Amino acid sequence: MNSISLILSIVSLVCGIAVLIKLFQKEGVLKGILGIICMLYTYIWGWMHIKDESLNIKTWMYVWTAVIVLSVIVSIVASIVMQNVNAALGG
Amino acid sequence: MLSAPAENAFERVIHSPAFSDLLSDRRTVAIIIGAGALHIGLSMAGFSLWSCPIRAATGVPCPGCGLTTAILELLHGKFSASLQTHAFAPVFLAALAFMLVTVFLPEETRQRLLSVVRNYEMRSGLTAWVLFGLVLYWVVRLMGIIPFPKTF
Repeated sequence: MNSISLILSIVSLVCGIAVLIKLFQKEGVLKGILGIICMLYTYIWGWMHIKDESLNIKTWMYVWTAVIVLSVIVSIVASIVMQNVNAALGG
Repeated sequence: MLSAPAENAFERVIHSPAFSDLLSDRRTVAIIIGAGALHIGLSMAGFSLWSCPIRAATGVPCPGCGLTTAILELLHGKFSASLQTHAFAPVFLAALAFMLVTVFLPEETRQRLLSVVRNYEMRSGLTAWVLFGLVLYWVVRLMGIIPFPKTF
């Protein structure tokens, strides 16, 4: 589970950096720094500009979103597995 | 001779009205506030749909890591703990509150307020100094001069 989470985190970071570069280019240094401080802002900005063809961030945003959804699923599965393991050890 | 353009570029960055630019689109502000409120609300309930990609992938906290925890502590009245977790939490909470207010203001009042904010930003460079200060604070914390809390 840990290695899956790590791979998903790395993919998420790569997507985030790709969108962050576009954020810096389009909105300037200050909003770029805000995007580093709060990657959630970068993510929201990405979705708000997904139709902007000149930015070409559609694929990055779809992959980033898929990775976030997968990460949540993996963490839920991991917590269920851990609960079962703990219950088996306790019982 | 060569330093003049660089100086101008720096001045331009410092005096650019980034915050009022952000506030100028009501829909963007509403989405940011909504996402922020959802994130803080879920964190209060012990869930998290969003984790920092930088920290998750590298283990190194980003400049904003700890802000959610610090804002939660601030909302619970734990001022000292909040400042220890992230010193910029009051600034960000104030900015979020200000953004929330601007979403509900009538258009005319909102435009007048935005004009005041824009002028102040362009004169003082406050937004830039806060953001650069936050990055400097992050570097200081990475160096261990002000350590990161054990959990956040």
